[in-house]
Amino acid sequence: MNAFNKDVFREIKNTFGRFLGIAIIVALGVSFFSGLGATGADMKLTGDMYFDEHNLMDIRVISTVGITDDDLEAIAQVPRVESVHGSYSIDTAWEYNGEAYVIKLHSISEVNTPELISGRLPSRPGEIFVENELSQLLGKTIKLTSGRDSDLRNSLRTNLFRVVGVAKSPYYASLERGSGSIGNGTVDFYAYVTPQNFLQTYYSEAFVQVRGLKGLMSFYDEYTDKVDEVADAIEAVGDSRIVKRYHEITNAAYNNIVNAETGLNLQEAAMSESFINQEALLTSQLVELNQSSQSADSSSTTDIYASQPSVIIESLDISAQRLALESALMELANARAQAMDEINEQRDALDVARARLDDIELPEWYVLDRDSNPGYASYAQDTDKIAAIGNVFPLLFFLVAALVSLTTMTRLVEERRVEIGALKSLGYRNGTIISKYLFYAGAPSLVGGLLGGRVGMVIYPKLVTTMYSSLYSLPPTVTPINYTYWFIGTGIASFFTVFAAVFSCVRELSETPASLMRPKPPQAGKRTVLEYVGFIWKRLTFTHKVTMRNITRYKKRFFMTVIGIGGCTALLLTAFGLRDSITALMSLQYGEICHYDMSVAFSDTAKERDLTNVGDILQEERVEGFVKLKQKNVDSYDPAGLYTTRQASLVVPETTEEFDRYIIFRDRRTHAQYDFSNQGVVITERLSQLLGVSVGDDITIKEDGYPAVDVAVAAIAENYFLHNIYMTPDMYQTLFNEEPEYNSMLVLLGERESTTMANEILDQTGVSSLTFTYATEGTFGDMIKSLNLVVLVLIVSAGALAFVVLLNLSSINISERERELATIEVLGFYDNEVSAYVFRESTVLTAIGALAGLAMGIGLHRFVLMTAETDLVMFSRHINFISFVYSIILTVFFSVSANLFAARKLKQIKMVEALKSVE
Amino acid sequence: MSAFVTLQHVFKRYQMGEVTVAALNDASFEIRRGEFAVIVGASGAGKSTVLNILGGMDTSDEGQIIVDGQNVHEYGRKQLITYRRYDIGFVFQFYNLMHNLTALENVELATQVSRDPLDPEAVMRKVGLEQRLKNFPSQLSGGEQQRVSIARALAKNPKLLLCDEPTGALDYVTGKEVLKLLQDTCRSEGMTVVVITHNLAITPMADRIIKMRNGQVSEVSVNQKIIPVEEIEW
Repeated sequence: MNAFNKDVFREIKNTFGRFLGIAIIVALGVSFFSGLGATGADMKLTGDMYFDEHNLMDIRVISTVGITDDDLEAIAQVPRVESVHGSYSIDTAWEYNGEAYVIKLHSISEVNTPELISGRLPSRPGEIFVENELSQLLGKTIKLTSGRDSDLRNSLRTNLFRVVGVAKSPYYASLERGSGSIGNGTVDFYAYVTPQNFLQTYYSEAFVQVRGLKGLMSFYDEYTDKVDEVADAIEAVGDSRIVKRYHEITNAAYNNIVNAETGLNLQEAAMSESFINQEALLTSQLVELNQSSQSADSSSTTDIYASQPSVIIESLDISAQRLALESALMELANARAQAMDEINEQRDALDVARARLDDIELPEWYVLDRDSNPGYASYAQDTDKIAAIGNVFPLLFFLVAALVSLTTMTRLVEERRVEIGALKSLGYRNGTIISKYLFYAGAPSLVGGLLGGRVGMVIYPKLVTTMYSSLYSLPPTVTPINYTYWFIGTGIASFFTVFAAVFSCVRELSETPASLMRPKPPQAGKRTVLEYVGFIWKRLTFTHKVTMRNITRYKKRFFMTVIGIGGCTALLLTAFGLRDSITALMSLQYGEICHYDMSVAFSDTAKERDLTNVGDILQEERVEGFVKLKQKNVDSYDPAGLYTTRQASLVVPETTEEFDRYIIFRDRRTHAQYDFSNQGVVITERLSQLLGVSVGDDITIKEDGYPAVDVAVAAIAENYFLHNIYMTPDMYQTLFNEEPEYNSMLVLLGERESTTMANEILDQTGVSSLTFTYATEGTFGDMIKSLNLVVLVLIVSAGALAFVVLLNLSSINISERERELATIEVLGFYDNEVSAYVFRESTVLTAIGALAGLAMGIGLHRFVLMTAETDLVMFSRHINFISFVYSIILTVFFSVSANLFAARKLKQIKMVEALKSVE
Repeated sequence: MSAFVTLQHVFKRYQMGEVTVAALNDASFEIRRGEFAVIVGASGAGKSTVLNILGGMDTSDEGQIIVDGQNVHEYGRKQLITYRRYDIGFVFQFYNLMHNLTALENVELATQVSRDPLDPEAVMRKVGLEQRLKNFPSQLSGGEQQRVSIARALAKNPKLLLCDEPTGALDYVTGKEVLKLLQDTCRSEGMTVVVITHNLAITPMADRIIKMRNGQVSEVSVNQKIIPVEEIEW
């Protein structure tokens, strides 16, 4: 080994701490960068593998009139359709421990293959598998009902099912179960039975798998594009199928009407004929009678005396006969009119039927892709959020890592100035000299980056996904090597350190060997701007003046500290701000927006008088007020396409008067209040964001069992949980052509004692559930607790960040200015005075950094909220004042502890050596 | 007149790996109040060690260092700082000025921690730098910087002025000027001044000449025929 290389390795050996320091900081930065960066992709891959393995459909086709075998055949003909399966589903009601639930029953098919957890899959009618949450039912028999007046056995072969297995379906990857047509519109559980159980003549939906997609990653454009092509083709098929289907249905009905009309006509004709015959008979009898009475009259005149009594009797007899005949005729006419009325009535009925048949609209097909599946869609969104956060947070750490290694390298090169000069004077080429520092910087960056990245790629995705594991029924996240993040992270980190080394080398090397070997002139002192502001400057004590000068003297250090400290404060503020937003959510939602204390829900079978009964009870109890509502889960679409569909609750109060006593519609920013309007609906803010609509735009609302309607958005109301669409009863009447059926109540309790009243209400027929607002608050509170973990993680990483930066800075600060410090030590500054001299500077820098950090934090907080918001929850943008205080206090705490840590170094300064050395 | 500074049997050993090197090996000498003393010797003779120990920048392993009746050898860390703070003025070869402070501010840096300091501006006038008060060190020549350094030491109003090769980094003429300033100060203020040098040529200007070799004092002589700096040539 030549002497030059020996020097390189000895240099590493002698300054191993520094060498290792570069490796560690790069390892940390890269592990964070590649770990969090890869998490989003890892989650997507895990999802894709799971969905592929379990044959999640690529396309789902539903129709307003169901899907027939002919439809399936037509879809199968579409190019690149691999398979198409008809599937049945039905919403059923189930009572368990006194509570009513809705179970969506699906038929097992080759798509969306369930994953068995225990037991076995159903193989014959009357067997069922349930989801994991109902695993306690295994081996038991459950009874399902229709949830309506009708018998479930009209739709299913049986209503008793034996639970033979517990399994999960890829169709329900998240906790969301979708909307149902019975109960309150929400499905609680899913379950699968064999298709033979269903008595329906048509399928509820068709699941399509597209050929050649297994190799493509779901969630990404390439996959989506291919699916869209096929979906478009299926829609085209659908357009012709719906016409055929329409004729199939309507033709039969038309034929029936025409047949009935022909029958009526025949009936009428037959009836008229029989009437005419009878009339003729009667008339002829009457004529006959008249003739015979005339002959009797003429005979009586000739033989009036002889036959007087008999004549009288005879004439009486004739009159009676005549009368009878005449009344018979009258009756006949009446009967005829009556029969005609009946026939005409039937004719009218047929006309009405014909008119209604004419009114029947073309059925519609909905061709939906995986994004319409709630589990898939929310998983896709969550991975995007993780990816977004994973790209921003690590960047901060990365920046700091780069800055730290940059300053380390710059310093090393500056320290070796004389040596560089000596090498140069010996005739070493610049390239050779640079290569030493290139190696010194490059080797630890590469090793640290590669190691850190590899470890980070395993640890961080696992860590992050554990937080999501309770929300999705997906297998553990796979963590393959993500070469992109690995190499990019290591590459950028190495580039920074190597660049710093080369940059400082080149700067030094541009000088002549002679000047290099002379001591480097120290950085000249400069006056700061503040000095020209006499009245401030004069008031500063002497050492404060020195501090001010020093701060402006080292620009690089200034920015590094401000970024580091600022980053720390920003992270802390984000963390505390998140907590505020989450907590504010509760107080805003239930303190300022929703004012009702209790809500009562009624079952589908509840009658109008059930609501009146409950109303009577409430009135007797003298509650402050209550209002009847129609509340129903509906699908809402943006008008542009069918692909962004969100479930929302359609709320129609019986009276809009004083509705603001229960729920306040207001603008989040201005707090300006809105009222109901007959011109449009009021929708909640998060829904408006998700559908991408603003005031004046149209949205489409589809209530189960009703045609879809378009309505204008009249106002957007502040709201944090779930989505609501508020509509006036008049508007409902106009849109749906019927009175809204009220099925719930909002109650203002006032001071009323509530438990006994609640029990009394629950005992009433038709009441399905009763919820106190404070109980809802509690449930959401639990859900939100998990987010506190995130807050803690942020605080810890903020602390680590601050510590790394400040420690590095302080030690550089101290070692770079050893001479200066030794001088003041020689002058007789006590230890605390020396510390104060050094740390006053970092105190000021900390203050500046913290202030900058507050500004950065507000932005970061907003960004994190926007990416972390789930579909159903909107976070408040508000940060409490105290959180600013906490962030500052913690930053100061971290800063002080790093300084104390570094202060130990101060005592180790060798005055004599520091002062003797050549400057 | 009794001794103002007395070193008796002072030892200082450094551990260099497995070898123990004695920088001071039983060194003894004394200096009287108001004297201009020069310690001379080759590199490694131990003269800097003497100065460091005398100035409270380093501690001795054995022996007695009596300065104005106090035994510095027994001082702890904090006492040493106080000793440096109130009793000692230092002048270094490389000036060790604060680059961020103007000439006057450098002097003020010292006076603000002293017990009974002199007026910084007056001291600056005395060293002939009244025109350079607001200049930063980088704007001063080497000789001027060393004058600032001397002014800084003097302004503290110390009992003892210790100078470590004060002319080492200066040219001939400037070096002479600095030495003159030191000698004048000694004479006019009655200040005890100790100068370390390897330049034997300047010994004729001193009151007392202490020669060192291998960590020991080889010769102490009191100069009977003091020659003014201006007349010394080297």
